[in-house]
Amino acid sequence: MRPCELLMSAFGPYGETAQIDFAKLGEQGLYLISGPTGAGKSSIFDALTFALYGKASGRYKKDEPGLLRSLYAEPERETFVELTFLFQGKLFRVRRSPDYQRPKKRGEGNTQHSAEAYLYDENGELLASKVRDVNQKIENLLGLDYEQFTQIALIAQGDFQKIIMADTAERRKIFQDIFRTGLYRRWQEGLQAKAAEWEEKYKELRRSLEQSLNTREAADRPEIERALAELGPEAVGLHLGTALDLLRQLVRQEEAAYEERGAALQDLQKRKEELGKQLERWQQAAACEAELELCRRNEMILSEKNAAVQAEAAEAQAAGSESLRIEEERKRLESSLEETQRLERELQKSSEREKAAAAAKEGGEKRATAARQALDAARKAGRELAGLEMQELQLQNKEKELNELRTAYKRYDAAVKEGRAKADAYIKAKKEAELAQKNYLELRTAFFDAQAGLLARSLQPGQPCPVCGARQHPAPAVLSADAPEQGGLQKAERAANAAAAAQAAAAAAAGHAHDEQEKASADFSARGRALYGEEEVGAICRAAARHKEELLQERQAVTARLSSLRAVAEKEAQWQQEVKTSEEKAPVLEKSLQDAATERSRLQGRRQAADENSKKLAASYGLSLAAGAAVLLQELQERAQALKEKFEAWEKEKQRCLQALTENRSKTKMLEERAKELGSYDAKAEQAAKEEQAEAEERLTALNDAKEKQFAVLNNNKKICRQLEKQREALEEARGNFSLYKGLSDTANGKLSGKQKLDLETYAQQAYFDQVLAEANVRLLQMTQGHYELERQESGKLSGKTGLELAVRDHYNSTLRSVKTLSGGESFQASLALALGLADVVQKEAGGLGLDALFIDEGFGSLDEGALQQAVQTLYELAEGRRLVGIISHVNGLAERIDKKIVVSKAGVGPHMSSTVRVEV
Amino acid sequence: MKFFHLADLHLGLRLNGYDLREDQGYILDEIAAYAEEERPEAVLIAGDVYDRSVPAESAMDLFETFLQKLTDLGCKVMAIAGNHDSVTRLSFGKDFFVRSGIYLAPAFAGKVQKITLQDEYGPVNFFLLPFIRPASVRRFFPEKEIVDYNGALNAALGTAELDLKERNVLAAHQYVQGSLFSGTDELIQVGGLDNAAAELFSAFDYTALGHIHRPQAVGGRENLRYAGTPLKYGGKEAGQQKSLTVVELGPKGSLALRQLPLIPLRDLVQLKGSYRELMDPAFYASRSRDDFIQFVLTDEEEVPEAMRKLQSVYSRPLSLTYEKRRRRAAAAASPAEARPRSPMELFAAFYFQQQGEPLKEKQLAVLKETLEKAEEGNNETV
Repeated sequence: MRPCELLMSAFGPYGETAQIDFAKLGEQGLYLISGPTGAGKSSIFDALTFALYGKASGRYKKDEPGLLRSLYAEPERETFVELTFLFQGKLFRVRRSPDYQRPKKRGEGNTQHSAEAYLYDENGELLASKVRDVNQKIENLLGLDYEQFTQIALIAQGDFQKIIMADTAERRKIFQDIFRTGLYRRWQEGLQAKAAEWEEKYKELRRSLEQSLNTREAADRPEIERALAELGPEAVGLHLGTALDLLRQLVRQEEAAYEERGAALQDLQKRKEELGKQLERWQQAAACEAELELCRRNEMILSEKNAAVQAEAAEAQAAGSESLRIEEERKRLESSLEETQRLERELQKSSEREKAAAAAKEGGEKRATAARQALDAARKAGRELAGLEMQELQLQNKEKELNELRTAYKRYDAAVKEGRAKADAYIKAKKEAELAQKNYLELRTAFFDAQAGLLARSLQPGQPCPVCGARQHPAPAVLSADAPEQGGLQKAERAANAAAAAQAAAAAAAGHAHDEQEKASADFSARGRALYGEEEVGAICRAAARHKEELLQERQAVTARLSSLRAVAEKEAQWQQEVKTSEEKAPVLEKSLQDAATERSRLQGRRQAADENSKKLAASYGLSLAAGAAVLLQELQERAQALKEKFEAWEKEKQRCLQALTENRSKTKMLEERAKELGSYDAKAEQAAKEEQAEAEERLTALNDAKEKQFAVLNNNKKICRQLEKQREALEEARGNFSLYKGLSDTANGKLSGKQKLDLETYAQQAYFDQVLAEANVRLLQMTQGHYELERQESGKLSGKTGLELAVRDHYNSTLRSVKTLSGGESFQASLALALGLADVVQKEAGGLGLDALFIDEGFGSLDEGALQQAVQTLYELAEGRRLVGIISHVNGLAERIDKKIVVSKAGVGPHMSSTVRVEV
Repeated sequence: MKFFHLADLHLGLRLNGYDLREDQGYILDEIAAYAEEERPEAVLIAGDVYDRSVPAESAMDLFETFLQKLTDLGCKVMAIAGNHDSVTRLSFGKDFFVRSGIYLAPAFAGKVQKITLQDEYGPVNFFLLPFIRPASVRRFFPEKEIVDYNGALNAALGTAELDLKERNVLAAHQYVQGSLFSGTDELIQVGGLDNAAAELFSAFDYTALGHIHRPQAVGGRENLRYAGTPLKYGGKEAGQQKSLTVVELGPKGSLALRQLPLIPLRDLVQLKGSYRELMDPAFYASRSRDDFIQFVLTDEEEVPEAMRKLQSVYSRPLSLTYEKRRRRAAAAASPAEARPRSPMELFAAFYFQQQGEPLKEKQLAVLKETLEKAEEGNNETV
């Protein structure tokens, strides 16, 4: 168990949270926990043991966990200790808090915080969460309980003497737990149990053997029986061999006698069998004769029977042939009846055909009549048609006239419009011409005016004016800006001329149009007058419209009627054809009808004939058809069958009789031969043999009984003999085992008389103790420079349960002293050596108790320089092997020699005197 | 330049309870006598002047007398603190002592103290480095990561500004690799971590070392030397020859060493023999019976009251051991015994002890069987 990190919160003198990182101290070596008095050095160890076991380490503190809460802590701060430690390569973390008072979270006053404990594995999984469980788990894990831990791994202040001064009982307990010497106790107990077991077995076996020997049925050998009786009750225990011999002898003798009897029995049996056989033979002979007699009698009977059967031959034959004949007749009748039926069916068919022909003829006649009627109708329609066509034509003409009228109107209308348009055009053209003219005149005037201006422009004073030749120009004409050009004037003139021309053209057009209009109007009026007698345009139009309407209606009616008539008329030809064909067909149909009728009557005749034929046939057999054909046939069949059977039966009988007869004859022959073999029957001899046999029987029974009885006794004795033999081995074995186990058990349990009462467990513990001392002494000798050595004291008494006493040998005086005579410093050395020795042996033995860390609290103060030096040396050597040894001491000499330190310091004064701790490397 | 190299005086040491004041006083007088003869310019004391950090009063008297004698002769004295000394206490009054030619090295504060003396060839620089551990040096070199003594010494010696053209001498108190120790008191930290490499000192013309009690040159190097203790301070030093080292520096590169033997007032020896032999007057007549003696008795049986009786003849016994026992102890510690015995073996031994004969085949078989059952029971309860 190696601590990795320790957290103390509000614990002991640590008012706040103090953390010690043991990892900084490395994996092995010494480290020193130093600090002023009361700073909290031992509290670190307290925290360690508290974390593991729920109790502090010191002698005085351990029983009062309530004292663990720091007095310097703030009320809200929790008191707990958390230790992370490494054990067998796995990390564990245990967190524990004691019972203590703390202020309530709500309200006033204090409340009790009960102790808690939690154990986690390296993944943070909770392994146990109740105080008891955690304690249990840790004890199981480390293999040490609180007591052992504080003696081996952690030597607390003032406690180092404990280990040296412990008495035997305490030491026993320690070794028992640590070195598991319980195994030896169980072992010795196991041996004892086993020894008891074998003893029981042995006794049991012996008892059962004795019983069977004593309840044996005595055989008829008085000498041997007497000898056996003499052996007495101890036969099995002590004289088993002799008893067995005697029994064997007995058995042998009995067996011999048994054999003899057996032989005699066999002879008798044989004789009996012989007689039996002879008797049998005689019996058989008698039987044979009787049988022979019987056979002969049978012969006679059978022959008679055979003859009788033969007599009936003729009758049977007759029956047979009759049967055949009836069968033939039946067949004939059957066919006749069938024929009749067939003809019946034919007749039916023929009748039907006749009916059909008749119907066809009628149908044909009806159709002819209808066709004729239709033809008449068609002709009538044709005549009417001509008239209507004429009418249609008239109507068409009327229509044409009307259309012409319309056209005329349209022309008239168009002409009117044209006239108007032209008139308008003329007016327009006129206006334009006037305008153009005006324009031109204006332009001309302007031009001329302008000429003046132009001329005026070229006027030079003193030069003659082109117009007037005056040399003075007092007021020359001004050229206006918009004076037209000559070109423009000409254009305007042209335009005016054009316009005038246009106007003239328009006038002409208008006049023309007007003429047209007159013409159209006249035309229209003429037409109208012709048709309706009207002249006025509007009246004409109205009349025309009305007329149109009338015409339309009429036309429609005519058209409709025309179409229907035409439809009918068209069919005329068709109907005519129809009539012709019908007339042609009629005679054919007549003929067919007559044929069918003839056929029918013929068939009827035939059927009648067949029917009569059947009746005749039936009558010839003495039957009437009255009951029905089927029934009749059946009857016939039955009759035939009956006769046939009769014949067959006779045949069989005949065969059977013949057979029986033949058999009987052969049997007779056989018996005759047999009789010859067996010889004759002698009644007297038989009787004699029977008597002999009976006698032998009696003798046999008697012998058998005797034999059986002897057999039973013999078997019983044999059985006992075997049993004894078999169990002798077992008995010997049991006895052997018993002594073996007893020997070992007594030795193991210290029950040897005359020797020291030392049992195995104690011996084992002594052995361990010796080992521990051996290891311890190496160190002690070194520390005391050869002065002291520890020895295990053998007690001189023969009582057991000792041998774990400790004494110290002083080599300077060569004396053996009690450990109590050592001085303080010397006993510290001895305790240290012992503790280290114990740890070493534990390491070697248990292996699993990884005591990687040791803690020593004080004790060094009692050593002088030299001893201190030695002690430190020893501890260094100890720490060499992967061990971390922690020492609490205030001794300066140690502080100088040990580099790694955990320094505890007190901070502050008075009520806030909490301590802090740090690691220095 | 001639100077003495001393170390590990351990003044005030008690040997197995004996006060060595007389012996130490005697040997210091011897050394002073040598000084008078040789007239060295300086005396170097390479650490462990006292045995304890708070030395005994008598020890301080001794040292005072010694210093007085040396300074009267005109020698300069240079002393450094060793691991046993308290540096601060030892350097008390160092500034005053300088006037008298006594140089005490203070605690290492970032720089090695340097004292320069002159001779006909020029200056000789003496560097005084008291005993240091990695922990004590770390804070002066925050940028360096110092994990062991090598690193610490490297860093500390680095502060000595060496002019390699001049002659430089170092006084140090450390455990250097390659040195043999007597196993008395020299181990500070187990595991070889407290040793320093010899190469660290190669720059110095001479390194005067203290700490190891046996006088020796380290790894064959003449100029890297332990002076050793002036007296035998432990049973294991019984066979050593104690000496005083005299160093003569010529011009740069020339070095001459001499050892002057130190004969103590009372020697420390080991006497081996039977009790009778040792108590034979003929034997001890010729011997000094006041020596410190380690007795090794060759007797088969332990002699009762041996120590007391021997003490009647020899006034200063140190310890008493029996050779046989030692051998037996050695044998007992051999692996064969130390092996944990199996239950079967234990039973066999037990049986033999009780019955006087070994176990037979059948018995062994039975025992094996019952043992298995018992072990099952063992497993169940575990």
